[in-house]
Amino acid sequence: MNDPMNDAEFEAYIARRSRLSREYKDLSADFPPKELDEAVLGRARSALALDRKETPEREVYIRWMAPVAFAATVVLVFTVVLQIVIRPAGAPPPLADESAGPSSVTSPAAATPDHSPKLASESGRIDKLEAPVPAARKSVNAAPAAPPEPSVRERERDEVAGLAEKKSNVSQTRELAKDAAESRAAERTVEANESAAQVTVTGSRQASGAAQAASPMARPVLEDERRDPAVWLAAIEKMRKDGQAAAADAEMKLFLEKNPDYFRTHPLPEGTR
Amino acid sequence: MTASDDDSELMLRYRHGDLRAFETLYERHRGSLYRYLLRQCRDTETASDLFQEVWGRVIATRARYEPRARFTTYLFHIAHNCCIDYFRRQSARRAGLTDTVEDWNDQLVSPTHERPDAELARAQLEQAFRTGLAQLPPEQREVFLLYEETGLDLDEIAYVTGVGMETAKSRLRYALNKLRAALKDDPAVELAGARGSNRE
Repeated sequence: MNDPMNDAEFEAYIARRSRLSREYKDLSADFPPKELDEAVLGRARSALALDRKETPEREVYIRWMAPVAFAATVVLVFTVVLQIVIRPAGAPPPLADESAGPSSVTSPAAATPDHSPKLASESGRIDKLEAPVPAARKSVNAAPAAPPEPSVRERERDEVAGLAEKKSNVSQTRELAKDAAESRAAERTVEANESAAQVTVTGSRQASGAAQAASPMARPVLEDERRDPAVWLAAIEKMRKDGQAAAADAEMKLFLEKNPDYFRTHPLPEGTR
Repeated sequence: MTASDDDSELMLRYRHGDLRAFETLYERHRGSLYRYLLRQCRDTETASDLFQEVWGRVIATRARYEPRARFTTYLFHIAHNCCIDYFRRQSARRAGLTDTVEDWNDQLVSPTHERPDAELARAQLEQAFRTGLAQLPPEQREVFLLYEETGLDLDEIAYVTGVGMETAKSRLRYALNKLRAALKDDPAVELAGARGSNRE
């Protein structure tokens, strides 16, 4: 029977002082073949290559994410600032200004761009190149909330005249006042013509109104006078004498419509045709 | 820095993309791992497959590697598991016990007529050693191989093989006794360190 290894021998072996260990080391130099080495190292290499292949996409994303986000933020802020800063100078006024209505209409810069270039240049509005009346109409149109009253235009012109009067140059003031007066007269003439055209279409009431508009001094035929044909005819005669021939003719036409048989029973008075 | 710490450092460097670190690590452990596998399964082809499988697992798990223990422990723990899987795939008796000593000799020893006379005695000693090693039970042979090939101490061998330290120590003691019995008639081999030292 074999002798069992005693503790001292075993401790010597554990301490690696045994000849058996040295003999085992010399037993053979078994190593993996070259092909095996290459296979393992190639596997390690391809694993790293795979890592590097996957990494650039993530790295590119991570590398460019912050700059792109920053650039987008800068562009957004720049655009908003441009909208806020540049729009009042070049773009139409905001809604709050539009709601101001007549006050914006009556602003001196908008109303008298030609006559007060200093004010126009201060305001920076593009309206300064437009004529006074169209500019005023444009301003009225631009403010839909404001009522299109004729008095607004008249007030504009009065203010233009007032501003012109304040100027030290007397001749310029006179010209401005003259321009304003002419403009006002022209406006009233246009309105009168429009009213006269309406009279011919709608009837005697408008016709008498047109006669009134044509001659501010003319007295219209009263409704009470029309009740009595004789009085009505007298009023027509009076209109004709006053030089309101057209109005007298229109009134006579109306008289004949109301009283078609009057002249059969009553002879024409002298001078009445 | 010790070699084992250096191994962990190399593994961490490889984990971060340093192929040179892996090459160094591989060069250090390729022989011991290959011999361990070859003498465990006693088939060069199987040993080569297991060798690739072990290193493949090391490569695949590099991202999760943490230097909690020596790299050698980590590496041979994987190797041990690969061997266990292999033995399970094969029949335990066929893989561990039924191979004959002649199979070993055919694989590992060159014909004597190709060797010079001076090496003949040494070749006979190697053959006797291999015969004794082949006759060991697998678990005893594994402890002996781990002890000789890796330089691990008994605590670490117990961890690698999944047994207690006393069990590992007992297995190693049994393995040494059987090897001593196999080489008893060979005057070139002495088991006792003291006697070996005296003879040197």
